[in-house]
Amino acid sequence: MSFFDAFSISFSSLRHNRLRTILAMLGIVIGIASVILIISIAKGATSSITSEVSSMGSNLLSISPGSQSRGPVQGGGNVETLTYVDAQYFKNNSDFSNVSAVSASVQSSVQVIGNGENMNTTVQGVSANYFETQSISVDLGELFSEEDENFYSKVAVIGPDVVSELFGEGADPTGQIIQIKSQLFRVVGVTKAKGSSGMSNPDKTVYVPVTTAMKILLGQNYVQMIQLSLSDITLIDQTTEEIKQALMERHGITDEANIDFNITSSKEMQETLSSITSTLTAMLAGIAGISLLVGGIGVMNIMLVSVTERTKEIGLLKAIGARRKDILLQFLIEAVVLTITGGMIGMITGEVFSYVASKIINIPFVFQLYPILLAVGVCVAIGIFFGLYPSRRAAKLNPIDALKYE
Amino acid sequence: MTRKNPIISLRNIKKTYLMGDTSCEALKGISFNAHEGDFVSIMGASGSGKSTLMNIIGTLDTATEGKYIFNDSNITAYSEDDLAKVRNEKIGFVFQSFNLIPRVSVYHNVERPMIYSRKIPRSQRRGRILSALKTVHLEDKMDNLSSQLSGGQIQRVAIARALVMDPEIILADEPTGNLDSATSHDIMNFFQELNKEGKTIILITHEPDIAAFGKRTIILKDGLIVEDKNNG
Repeated sequence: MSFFDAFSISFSSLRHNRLRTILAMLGIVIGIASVILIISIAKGATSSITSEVSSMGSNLLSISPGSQSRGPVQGGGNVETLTYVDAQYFKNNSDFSNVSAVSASVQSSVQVIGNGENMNTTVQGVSANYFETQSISVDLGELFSEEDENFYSKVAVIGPDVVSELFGEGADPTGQIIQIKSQLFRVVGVTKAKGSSGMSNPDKTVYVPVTTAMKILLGQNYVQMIQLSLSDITLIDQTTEEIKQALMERHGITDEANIDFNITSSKEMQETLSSITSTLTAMLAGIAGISLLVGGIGVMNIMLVSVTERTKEIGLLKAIGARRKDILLQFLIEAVVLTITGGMIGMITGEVFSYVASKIINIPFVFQLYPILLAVGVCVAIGIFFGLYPSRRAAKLNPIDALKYE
Repeated sequence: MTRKNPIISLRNIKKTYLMGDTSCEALKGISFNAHEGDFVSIMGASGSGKSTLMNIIGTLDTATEGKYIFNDSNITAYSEDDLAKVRNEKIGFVFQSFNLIPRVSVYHNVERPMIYSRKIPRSQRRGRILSALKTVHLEDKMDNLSSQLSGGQIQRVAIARALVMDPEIILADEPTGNLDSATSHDIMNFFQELNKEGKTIILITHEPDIAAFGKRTIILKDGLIVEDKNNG
């Protein structure tokens, strides 16, 4: 029997039992569609997270206080091991030629009053070049300078959300006075809207010089983070090691187990995030895969019913000269046609749903070829795997018994 | 073209069925020859072994003992696939219950044996189907489903299916068992016509008046031939 004949016989038999065929296919359609949907959404989310992280600057090293080996209190703001002087040390030291900018920061959640309105928000004390390392640019007025940092100036740069809440949408607050923790600050600039990055919202932040924040607002002499911009990202490992050694020496630590700071790179963060999302994707795709398995069992069930129903026909086919392998091929192709057709419909449905979902949850729509190829492969495999048993059963039927079957 | 050797030669064919601990001897030693152009009616009551004999002649079953020479070949030890080829190319089956595939048209029912054959190219299929349907006078029904045909017409489609491969013998198992007597006689007349044109026909029946359409009647009883006579 030729493949062409086997296909045309399979199609005619599937067409004949239309409702049954559709129901059997539905399991495969749902399985494939959900796998594609999940993979596509996960890819979209990953690329959106990755681009957010890299917009923070991929050449950044962050030093935060706290121990790597002392349990869950990692990067905690209350650990007092990192000082402003540490930051200055890296800044004014020609040994660290790969470090192009250094920025120290502290932050606190406080009440801000201005123009008769008040709001609770984050006040961040940052170095003057913090804006550059974080790709934050100015929309109105100007950013504060290194001089402001050196002279403990009471100046503030505020985010656009702070402007609309205190001064009203579109107002120009430069030159206005705001009150932070009973201290008066002059607004010198407004940042460009950047959008929330998950962990913090720069649009809703009030920036003041880090020195002013430490001394006047918070009364502390430690910082919560030091960020270093590197001029050559390829030397990141070497620079990290140099900084670690220097900080250990400064902090009088000889044993690496007692280290009281963490150095992380934004590259590392990206890797961590993408490993989290790929684990999640695998898990969800696995769950969707179970529905494919259930669909496959449905196909097997239908094929078994079909074989039983057509016992007499199989007897006839053997009488007119069909060999075992002809019968096997015919039923196997029927199962594969069933799963592949279901798979195709599932793929189209999955892509359409992914597109709609990406628009709704506002992530990029990522069209990829490999889940589609995977789906086709999986469908053929399911068709063969779950079709084999019923087909073998049909092929092995004794023609005399089959012809007598009523 | 006539040949000297018989088309079918059965020599001391025995068939024993094992049912648990007991064995049942359905055929106890059957020997007979059928020549080209024969019309042999095999008759017997139920339980006489005629169905078993038909299955062995049709190569759907194999004998426990004895020798089966078909068309000068000893097919007793043929493999399953070789026997399928013999059935496909040399034997045309006609069944009591017609056995048409209900979901496909008359045309595709008649086409089926050719699908399992390597002998006939696809380009010849249509011509052969039309000619077989013409023989049974149903060329105008080729697009119909079997549900749209009468019993007699359905059996004629089955005969067309049996003829389409131009087999050496037609093996008809109670072909009139599901038909009324008028249609039965039509079908039997039709078999007689085919036989006159040279087809060898083996007919299995339990009805003497149907058996009488053949040229020769073999009567079975308890797994043995009790009578083998030419019909006057």
